[in-house]
Amino acid sequence: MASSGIDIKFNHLAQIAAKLHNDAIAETAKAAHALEAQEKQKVIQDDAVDTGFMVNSIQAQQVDKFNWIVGNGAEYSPHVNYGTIHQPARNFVEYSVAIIGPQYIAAMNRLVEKSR
Amino acid sequence: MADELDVMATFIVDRLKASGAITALVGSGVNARIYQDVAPQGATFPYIVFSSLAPNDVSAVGAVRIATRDQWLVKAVVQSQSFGGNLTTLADAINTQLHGDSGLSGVASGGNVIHSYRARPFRLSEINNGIAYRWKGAIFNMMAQVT
Repeated sequence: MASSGIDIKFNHLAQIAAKLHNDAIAETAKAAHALEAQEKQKVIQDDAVDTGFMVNSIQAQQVDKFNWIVGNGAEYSPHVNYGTIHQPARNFVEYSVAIIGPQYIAAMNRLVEKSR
Repeated sequence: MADELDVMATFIVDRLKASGAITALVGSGVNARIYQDVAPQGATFPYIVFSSLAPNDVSAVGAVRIATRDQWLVKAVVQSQSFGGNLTTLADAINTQLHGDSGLSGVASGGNVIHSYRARPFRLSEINNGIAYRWKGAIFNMMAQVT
């Protein structure tokens, strides 16, 4: 009776999984720093800089491997971002997320494609 | 020629003016206190302000622009220390008028709003020269095409 089968000569699945994991961590960090840079750029582009405190305080901080927070230390930043009763919104948060978010998703998709 | 942001802005104003709950509080027609980006100095409260936050084009191969996505902040503003009362009435009416629409062909002059739905609620407090103001509304995802 004829039979067929596959002989596994190498098993690199563990290494592939580890590399994918580490690359995903790196892409997440890259996206967080890109978001920080984009927010700073937008604040400067909108001429929303007075003392420079807010724009300099925009920082990406790592929470864990796949969690980063991009925030800033200026208590008035929501009023810059969303406007006041006298000033229009000079939005830098949603604007930047809308740019960097799709780039991050595309980068993660590329990682998955490369590992196939 | 109107661009996609004009189409979405027109859609927002038209929808808000179509609500009796809103016009009862901010006025109607050309006198409606619905402003883009910033209210004029000394505007009577309450009023509504709306702003474009994050416009992005949806493009195809070549120089073809299919549509534009955007997030719009639409907020009611009162001179008060409370998020309730007229502020809540206006915020609820804003949500009713702008949330959950899709396939909105021909709803705005110069183009189509393809969809409009709430991304997240919004509220903020502001104190200016010792006077308290409250804002309440929502951020809406929208997509529009010019025709």
